[in-house]
Amino acid sequence: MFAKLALRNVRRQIRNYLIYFVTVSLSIALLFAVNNLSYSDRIQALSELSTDIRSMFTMVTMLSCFVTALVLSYATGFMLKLRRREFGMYLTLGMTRRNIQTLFACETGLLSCLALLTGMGLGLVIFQLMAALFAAILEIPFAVSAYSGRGGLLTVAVSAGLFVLSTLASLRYLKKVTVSELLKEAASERSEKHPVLWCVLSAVALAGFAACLVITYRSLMAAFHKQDGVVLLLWLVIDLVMVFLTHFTLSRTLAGMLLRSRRLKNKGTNTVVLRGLSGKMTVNALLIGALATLLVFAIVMSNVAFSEKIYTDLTIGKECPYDVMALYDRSKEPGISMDEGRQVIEKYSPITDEQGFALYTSGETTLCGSIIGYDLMEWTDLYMPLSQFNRLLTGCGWEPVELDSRYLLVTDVQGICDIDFSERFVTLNGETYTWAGSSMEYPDFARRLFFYFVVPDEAVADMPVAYLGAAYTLENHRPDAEALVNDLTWTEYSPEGPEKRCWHAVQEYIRLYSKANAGTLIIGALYVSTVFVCMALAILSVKTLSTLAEERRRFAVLYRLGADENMQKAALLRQAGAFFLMPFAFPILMTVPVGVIFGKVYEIWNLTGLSSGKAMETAVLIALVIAGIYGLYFVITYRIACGHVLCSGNERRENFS
Amino acid sequence: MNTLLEIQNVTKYFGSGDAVSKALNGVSFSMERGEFTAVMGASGSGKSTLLNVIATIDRPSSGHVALEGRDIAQMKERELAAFRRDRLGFIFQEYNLLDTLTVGENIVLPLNLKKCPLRETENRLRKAAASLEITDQLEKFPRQLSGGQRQRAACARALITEPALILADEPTGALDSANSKALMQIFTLMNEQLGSTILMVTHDAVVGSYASRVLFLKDGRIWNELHRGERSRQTMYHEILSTMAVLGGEADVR
Repeated sequence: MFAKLALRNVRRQIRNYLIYFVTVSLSIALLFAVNNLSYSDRIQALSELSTDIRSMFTMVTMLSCFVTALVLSYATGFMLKLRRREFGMYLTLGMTRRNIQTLFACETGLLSCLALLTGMGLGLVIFQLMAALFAAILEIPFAVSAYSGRGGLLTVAVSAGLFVLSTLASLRYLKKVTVSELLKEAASERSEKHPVLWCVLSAVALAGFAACLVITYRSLMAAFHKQDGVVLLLWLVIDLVMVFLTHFTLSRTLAGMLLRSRRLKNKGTNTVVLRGLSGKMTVNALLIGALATLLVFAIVMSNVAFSEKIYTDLTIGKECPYDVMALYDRSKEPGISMDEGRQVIEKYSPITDEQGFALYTSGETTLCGSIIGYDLMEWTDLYMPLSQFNRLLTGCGWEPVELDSRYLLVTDVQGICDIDFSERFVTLNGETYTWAGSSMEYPDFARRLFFYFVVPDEAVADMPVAYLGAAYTLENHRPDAEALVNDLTWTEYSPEGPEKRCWHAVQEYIRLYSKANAGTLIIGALYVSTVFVCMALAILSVKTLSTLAEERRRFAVLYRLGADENMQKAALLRQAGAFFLMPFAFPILMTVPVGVIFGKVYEIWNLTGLSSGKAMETAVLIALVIAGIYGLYFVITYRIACGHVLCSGNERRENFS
Repeated sequence: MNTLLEIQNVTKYFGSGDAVSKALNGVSFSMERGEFTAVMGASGSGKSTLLNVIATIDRPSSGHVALEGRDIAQMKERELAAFRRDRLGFIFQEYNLLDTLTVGENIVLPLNLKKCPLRETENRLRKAAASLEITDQLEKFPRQLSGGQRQRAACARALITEPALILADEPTGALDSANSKALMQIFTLMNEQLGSTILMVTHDAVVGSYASRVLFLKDGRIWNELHRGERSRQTMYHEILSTMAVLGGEADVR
């Protein structure tokens, strides 16, 4: 009997349940997709490459479960609130609490099963889309990925567990709540009593946020030089806290302050809209603050992920400019000699070109003595002859360098690049050389070294070779990189234990590794952003729809007082729009500072083909996508609200009876 | 006096096919400016339907409803909204004040919808609040007022646009007898001193006795009509009771 009644109730209240259903299905779909991706063969294989990928997916899965739990408990609570009076009425009509609990459990059970099925169905598609995106990032051909039984089972287990938990919480409420509490009219949301005080506080919070943003920017710039990420992270957290505080205080004051303008308030339906908003925003100030923080986080995360992708794309060529590069330390005994290495490479692809080079040492610390900690690292000055450097440069498309009795510092460490060597001179073979400059721009020919100096050829005459290197160009630019690296790696046994060593860098392997990491970061960030945005929207929709009964009464009065359908629509649009916009406008505006900051970062990276405009372009694109999803959700919510609330013609007579 | 409201042979059907019911069956009457008319009748007699038709909430199935010579049955939805806003005032049994707005904001709401200038809005609010003695309550919210005070606020809202006709649907339905009496005195004041034309639906004989004319509805038709003329309210009350007894209705006797 209860199953029948539950089925009928679900069918009758389909409009109320729609947002709940869509939200829950979407959460499950995303959870299913990420679980499948996490257990897919491709990710399992990539996990062998980098433990970061495994950790990232574990984090994303845990976060998904947490967010899904939040959304489910919130949505179930909303459904209970929506039907409080109905359950109270059932109790007064003689139904027992057990009957009502059974009815509610049947209804949520039915909906949950439907949402689970729909979500998994949707998840099948989202998973393939995610896999396609991943393949595109890795630049490997896309093939329809096999679904993972473990991923599916995990989704069902997590969803069922969450459904049971949230239903149990609701059933407990139904057991404890009194009939009068159920029947009581929901208290109307009251406006903030002290809008001026909150206005002052929000101005302070806003100013604080602006200041924090400036400090964060400076901290970010400093982080590039000092490599100090902890301070930057701390400021980023403080920024998010300030976003929360700004929205929390602004929600409590904005409508209230607008209501103080008599001219504005006495225009059309403004009083009704502003009073409604004031009450709603005051009651939901915490929620608005939290949602705005999540949205800012989503926007920043997406930008970080795409920047990582852009950076990876542009730096692979710099990290390993030739197909394979070798660098042998002459002071150590290699497990695989250079000749053996060459033979191994040829097993994978014929070598079409080979450029040998060497790094010489004077055994002195004349130049590297300027670098703090050089003695601890036991560094000595290393020199590459200009002719070899230029040959390597031109081989990968760069212009040759000219040095007249000067030396050039080549490094990939910002801190070393920033050191002023203008007072440092070095005399080699009777000739004194002055500093020509320092650069991080050049391709990395000596991958394991932090720095070296390029000098005219005559400077290194008679110097011993410290490192011997070779740059190989292969016929097949994309060999089986994992196997090749594996064959070029040997195990070195030391008192600390065995350690894997490889003195070769394979461009394809680096590309695979970097792109897998960037891809994981992008998928993770996009996933988290999508979940955050959808959760924010679902909660906003649910909040808006939960007050429809009250709004319906208000709009019925407005109708009788002479507000035609267009006026009502406009009032509802402004009211719902402002409520939706409140936690969204600021994060979207954050696109501008985020674009500017990332533009500055791009300038610092100073990579060919990368301009600061590209950062703004990416930020705007991300903002547009999020705004699109937001707009869609808002339109659905607004249309449902219009259907419930607006009064026109004879159909609304019952509102007055 | 000149004719304000003209109702001619108005019928109103609900439902369709076999389930059709006739709520109004050829109702005709007119009201002069400054009149205070009550409509009484048993439950289901059609009095609320009649009020809804005049209020432009319902359209008649046939017949004509003309206010100030304009046939409201012919107006479009948008015109009707403007007509309700500009020419009609409403007082409901449940007050229908918006709980999120202050009393003052509730009262001026029809003027806001009409885009009335701020200075005029404030002048009219002051005047209406003073005449209904609620000046001290303007900054309060409806939940902070008693039932009687709320109904005064609703009267002020109905008065503020200086409508041609005020429609009251069981205005004392949610009030105790003392507050009902006070409200009826306010209606009398609105009618006699402010010149408002009032059409009130009630099934309370005491409340009906304040009107200058009472229309009795039965099965969707006007069954009888009483004019107070020079008679006292007490006499009118007894006559209403006698008529209701004949009508076989449900007049409340307090």
